Amino acid sequence: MNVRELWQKPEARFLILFLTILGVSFTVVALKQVNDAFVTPYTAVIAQMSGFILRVFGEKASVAGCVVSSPRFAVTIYNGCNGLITSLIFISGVLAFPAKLSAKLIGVIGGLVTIQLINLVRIVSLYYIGVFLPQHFNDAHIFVWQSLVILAGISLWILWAHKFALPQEAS
Amino acid sequence: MKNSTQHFLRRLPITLIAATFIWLLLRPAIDMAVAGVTQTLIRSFEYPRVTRLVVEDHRAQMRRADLRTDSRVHTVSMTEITFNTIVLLALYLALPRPFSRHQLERLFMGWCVLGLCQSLNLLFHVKTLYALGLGEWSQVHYSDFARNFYGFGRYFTDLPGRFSFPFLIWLGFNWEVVMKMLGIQEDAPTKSKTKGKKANGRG
Repeated sequence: MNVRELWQKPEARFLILFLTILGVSFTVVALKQVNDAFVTPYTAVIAQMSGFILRVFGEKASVAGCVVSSPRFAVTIYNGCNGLITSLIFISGVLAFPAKLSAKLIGVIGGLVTIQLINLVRIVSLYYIGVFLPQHFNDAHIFVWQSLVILAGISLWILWAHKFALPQEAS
Repeated sequence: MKNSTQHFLRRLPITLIAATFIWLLLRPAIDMAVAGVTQTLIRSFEYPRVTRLVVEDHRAQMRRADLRTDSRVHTVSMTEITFNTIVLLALYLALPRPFSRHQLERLFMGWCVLGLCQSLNLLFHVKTLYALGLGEWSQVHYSDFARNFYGFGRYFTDLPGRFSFPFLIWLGFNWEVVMKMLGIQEDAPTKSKTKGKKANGRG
């Protein structure tokens, strides 16, 4: 089988594109310039949004850079906690999938918004776990919520493929 | 939506809980296995063989036989390195007939590959510490290239790797099942120009 024949197979094309987009995007966000110009401000916006939600819930939360703090507890939002990696995996899956451009656009925008909403729930819930169950904070932070966010991203991708990417008769 | 996809998505929350319990149960053994493989890998390219990884309270302690006994012991969280086993298990168990021999074989192979990825993650942590974190000793024993190489390896196997490896391994070992579930393979033209050979649609 030559490269052209391989490329004509939708599943092979999907795999090649998926791995390429994933590898390139992970490399790009690792660059210091990109980190300073995009990743850190993006994380700060997530912190601002988390602080806003906590204030709506009656917490005296203040935000400084990527740190959300109140007299009761404080959380620092690091690179792994901003939902960016899950978003990149999701976007790579959407862009590599054999679908119309409009479907991909819906996928990218809808997916990013949904993953960020889930991530905000995660940050706010972790704040309250830190307040009320501080002994479980690390477990909730590392293996409960990280696993949940990854699986949510994968589920979203599968849902998007069926609702928007595939022709109706196929889905 | 296809039945198989609906079943998969419905089963996923339940399998996530089951996977979490399995991981919690096997965690000490997983920690030991990952640290053991990493230690073997590091010592394979080390002369004299001085690195020792000791797992205590789900943290890998990096000990070197040539350091003073009162030297600071650096540690890495094994929970952060091995938690993605939960994701792999949950995805596997949510597929149809997860306890069939075929699927169990795939799970075993996938788990082994993930274990190797976790070992590489820990290896890059240790080597990055050696190349960057031990002051003058690091400067003398490691080149700029080595520092960049280990730093890059650590970055890639850390967040991007931990998050994407379980998904990629699951996808790779269950390619036909997932592609059919996603509807990609059904759309593939099976009567393509294959010079007389019959395409069976399996890729």
